Amino acid sequence: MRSARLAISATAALLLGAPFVLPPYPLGLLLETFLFALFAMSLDLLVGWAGLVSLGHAAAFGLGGYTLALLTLHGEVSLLPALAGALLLAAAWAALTGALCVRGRGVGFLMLTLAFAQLLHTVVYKWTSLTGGSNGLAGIPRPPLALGPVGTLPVQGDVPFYFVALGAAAAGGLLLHRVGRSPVGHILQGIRANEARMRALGFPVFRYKVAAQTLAGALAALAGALHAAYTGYVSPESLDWITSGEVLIMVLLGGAGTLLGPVVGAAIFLFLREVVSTLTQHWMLYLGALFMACVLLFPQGVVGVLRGRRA
Amino acid sequence: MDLAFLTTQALNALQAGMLLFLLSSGLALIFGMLHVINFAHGAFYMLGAYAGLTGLALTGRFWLAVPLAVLAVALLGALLERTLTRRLYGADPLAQALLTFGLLLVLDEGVKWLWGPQIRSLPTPEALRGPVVLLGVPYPAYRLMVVVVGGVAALALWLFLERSRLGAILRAGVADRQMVAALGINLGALFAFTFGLGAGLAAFGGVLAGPIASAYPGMGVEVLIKAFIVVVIGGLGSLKGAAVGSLLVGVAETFGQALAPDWAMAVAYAVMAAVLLWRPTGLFGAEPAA
Amino acid sequence: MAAGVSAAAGLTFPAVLRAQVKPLKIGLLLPYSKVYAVLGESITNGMRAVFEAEGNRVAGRPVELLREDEESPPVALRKLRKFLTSDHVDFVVGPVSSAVAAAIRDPIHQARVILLNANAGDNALTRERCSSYIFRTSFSNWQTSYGLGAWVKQRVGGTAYLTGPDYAAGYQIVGAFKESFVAAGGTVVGESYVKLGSTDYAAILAQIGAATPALSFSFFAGSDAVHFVKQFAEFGLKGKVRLAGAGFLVSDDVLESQGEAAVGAITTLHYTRTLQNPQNLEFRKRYQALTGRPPDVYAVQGHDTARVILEALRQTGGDTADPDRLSRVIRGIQFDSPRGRFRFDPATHNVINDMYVMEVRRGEEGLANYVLSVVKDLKDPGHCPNIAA
Repeated sequence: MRSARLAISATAALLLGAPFVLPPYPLGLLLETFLFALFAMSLDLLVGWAGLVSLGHAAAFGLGGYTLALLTLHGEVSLLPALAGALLLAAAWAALTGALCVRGRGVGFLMLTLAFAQLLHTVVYKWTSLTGGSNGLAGIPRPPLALGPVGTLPVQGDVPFYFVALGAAAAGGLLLHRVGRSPVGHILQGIRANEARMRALGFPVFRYKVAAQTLAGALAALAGALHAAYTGYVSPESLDWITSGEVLIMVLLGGAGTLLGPVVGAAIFLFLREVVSTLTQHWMLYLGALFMACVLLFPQGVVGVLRGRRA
Repeated sequence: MDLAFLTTQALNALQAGMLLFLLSSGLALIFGMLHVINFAHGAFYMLGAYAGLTGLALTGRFWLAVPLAVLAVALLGALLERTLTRRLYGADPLAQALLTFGLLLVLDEGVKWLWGPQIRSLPTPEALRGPVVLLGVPYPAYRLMVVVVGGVAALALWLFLERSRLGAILRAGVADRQMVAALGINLGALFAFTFGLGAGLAAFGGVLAGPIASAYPGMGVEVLIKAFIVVVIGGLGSLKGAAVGSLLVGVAETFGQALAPDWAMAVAYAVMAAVLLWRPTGLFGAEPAA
Repeated sequence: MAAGVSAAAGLTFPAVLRAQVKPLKIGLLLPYSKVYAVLGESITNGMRAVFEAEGNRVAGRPVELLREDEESPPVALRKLRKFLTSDHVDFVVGPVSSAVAAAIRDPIHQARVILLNANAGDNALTRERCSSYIFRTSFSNWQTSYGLGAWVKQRVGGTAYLTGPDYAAGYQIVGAFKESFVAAGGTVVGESYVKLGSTDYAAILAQIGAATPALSFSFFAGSDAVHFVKQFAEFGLKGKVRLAGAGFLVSDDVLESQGEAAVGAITTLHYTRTLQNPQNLEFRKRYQALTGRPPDVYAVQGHDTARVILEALRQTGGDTADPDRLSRVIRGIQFDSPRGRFRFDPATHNVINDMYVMEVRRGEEGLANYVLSVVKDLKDPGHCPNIAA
C-alpha cells in the first residue's frame, strides 16, 4: 500500500512537472498519450469488464471529435458545452447501436460493432457539406474554459491544454476505477464469466450491457473531442476500423481488465509509433510480433480476463 | 438500363463473386474445422498476389506462377498452423482470433519489407489481353477466364469434399472433431492440411486477382473485411454459405458501385448487419459441435 | 569609437559565421508509399537534381533534405509538428495530397513558415484558404483541365462521360473541364466517381460503354491511372470512345506501364518530357544521370521548387529568419524552367502555367505525349484575401 501510494505520488509529480521541463514536441506526445489512454481505458470497460470485444469503438471517438469541431467552428462554443455536446451525442449513438449489437454473441457482436462503425464512417465520408467529407474539418479552435460568473480560463496554449488533457484522463480513469470496484462492475464481470447464470439470478443483463457501452462511448468521445481540439483537425480516419483495431491492441497489449493495462498499452503503442518509426519504416511489424508474443506467452494474463462465453 | 450494360455488370458481379468465394471458402473451412477466426486470412490472399508476382519474375510464365504461388502460400499456412495457432487450441477462441490479428499486422507489413511499399502491377498474360465478344458485348478475356476457373475450382472443391476419402475425413472433422480423433486419424496432420488448404484457396484468389487489382500493401486488410462479410452472411463454417454469400456480396458491390457508387460498401455492411440481427449464425451456418 | 566598432564587429562576426554555416533544413512532406509513392520520389529527385548541381550548398549553407511520408492527414499533421517544433525547418515542401494540404494549412499559417506546395492542387489553397506563407509551384486543379474543354468539343465530339476519384481533387478537376466543355456547347452524358485507390474499374467502364459518348474525360493519377487506362482498353472501349483527361492520366510516370493502351489519349498538362526548350533538354540529361530514368511532371515541379528556394536565398543572402521578407521575395521570382517561363501570380501565390494540349503517340522520342497546341499564361481565376502587402 505504501509503495503504491509512493508510486502514484511520484508519477503525479512527474506528470504535473513535465510542462516545465519538456520541450514542446515531446510534451505534445505526452498529451496525446493521455487522450489515447482515456480512449483505451473506456474500451477496457467493455472488453475487460463486460467481456464485449468491440471493433467499432472508434465510432464514439470520432463522433466526439466531429461534434466538438462543428460546435466550435460554427457556434464559437466554449470548452465545457462543446465537450457536453460530444459526450451526449456519442452516448446516444453507443446506447442505440449497443442495444442492437448485443444481439450477436462473441464474433457476432464483434462484426456488428464493425458494421455499424463502418456505416457511420461512410456517412461521415459522404456528407461533405457537414463534415468536410474526405478532407475532414481543419482549423478547429481550442475553446476557452468558460466557468460562468467565475470567469473564463484561456486554456488554449500548449501548456494549459496539457493540463486539460491530463485532468480529463485522470477524471475518466478515476470514474472507471470507481465503477469497476462498485457492484455494477462486479455484475459486469459476472456477465462476462457466465451470462446465463446472471440472467437466472434475475439481473437485467441487457440493460447492464447497454449501460456499459453508453459509458464507454461517452468517455471515448471525451478523448476524441479533446484530440480534435488539440490537433485542430478531424477526419473520417478517426472513425475507421483501423483506429478501432489500434485501440483494441492498446488494451490487450497492456492487459485487459486492469485499467492500468490500457494506459500502459497506449503508452507502448505511441512510443513504438514515434520512436521506432524513425528507426525503421516497419514498426507495425514489430508491434504485431509483440502483440502475438503477448497473446502466446500470457494467455492467462492478457487474454485470461477475456473469459467470455464461446459463441 | 440496357441489356449490354446488364450483361457486363452481371459478368462483373460473377467475377467479383468468384474471387470472393476463393477467399472466403478457405476462411469457412478453417473456422469449421479449427474453430479459429483467422484474421490473417486476408493476408494469404495478398501473399498469393505477391507470390505470383515473384513467380512470374522467376519463370516468365503466368500459368507456372499461379500453381507455384498457391503451393508456396499453402505450405506457409500449414507451417503457421503447426507453429503458432496450434499452441492455443483449447484456450479461449478469442485468443486464437487475436493471435491471427497480430499475424495479419506482421504479414501486411512484411510484404512492404520484401516487395516495397508501391503498388505492383501484374501484367495480364498475353493471350488474354483485350476483349472477347459475349452476347454482343465486349468483355475482358482475362476476367472471363477468372469466372470460368473460379467455377471449376468451386466444383473441384465440392467434388473433393463429397467424393474423396480425405474430403470425407475433413467433413467429419468439421462435424465432430473428437470422433475423428477417436477413429485414429492424426488430428495434427489434418489440421495443418486444412489450414494449408484454406490458405491455398485464398492465395489462388489473390494471384488470379493480380492482373486485375494488382498487389499492394494493405490489400490483406481491405479484403479481409469483405471475406468476413461473406462468411458472416453465409454462416461461419459453411461452404454453401460462402458460395451464396460471395455471390450476394459480389452483386451488391458491383451494382452498388454502378448505381450508387458512394454507398457501395455501405450496402454490403448494411446487409451484413441485417443478416446478423435476423439470423446471428448466418444463412446456412450452425453452431459447431464441441 | 574605434574600440566600440571593433567590439561590435567582434560580437556580430561570429553571429554572421554561424548564420552562414547553419544548414538549410527543408522538410519534405510527401508520399513515399501507396498510390502516389512515385510522385513523392519524383518530386524529391527533381529537387536533388537542382541542389546537387550546386554542390548541395545554397548561399553557403549546406542543404539538408528531411523526408517524411505524408501517409494521411492526421499522420501528416503529426509529422509537420515534428518539422516545426523539433527539427525547426526553414521550408516545408509538399504535400501531394490535397486532403493533407487542407489539414496543414492552418498550422503552417500560424507558425509563419514558408510552404512550397509542390503538388497538391486543391483550388482553395490559393483561393479562400491561401496564406502569405504558402506558394504553389505545381498547378491548381482548375488549371489542369479547364483548357481542354473547348478544344475537345471542337476537335473530338460533343458528348462526354466524366469520371474521377471520389475526393476534392476529383470533383475540382472534373468540374473545371465540365465548365469549359459545357460552355463550348458540349453535353455531359454521365458523371461517376470511384473510391480513391480503387484498382478495379469494371463497374464504371461498363457504364461508359453503355452510355456510348464521343469521349471519356477522367482525372486519375499514379497507379489509379495505370489501372483505369489498361482496363479501358481491356473492356474494348479504346476504339469506340476517345480517351481524354487531365494530363496525369497518361503522364510520363505511368505511360510505360500503360503501353499501347494509352495511345491516342488527349490531355492537357503543364509539362511533357518531349518539350524542346533548352532548360528541358538540360534537365532531362541531368535527371537521367541522377536517377536512370527520364523526368516526369512531378520531377519538374520538384525542380522548380528547388529553383525557387535557390533564387530566394540568393536574394536574401542566405537569411531565412524573416518569413515576411521571404514571402515578398518569392512572390517576385521568375526564371526559365523546363516547363516554360516560371512565375507566380502575386495575387494568389499560384504559379502561372502554359498548358499544353497533347496526344499520346509513338514518335521521335518513343511512346510519349506530343504537343498539339498551347494555352498560354493560364492564371487560376481565384482571389486571395490573405496576402500581406
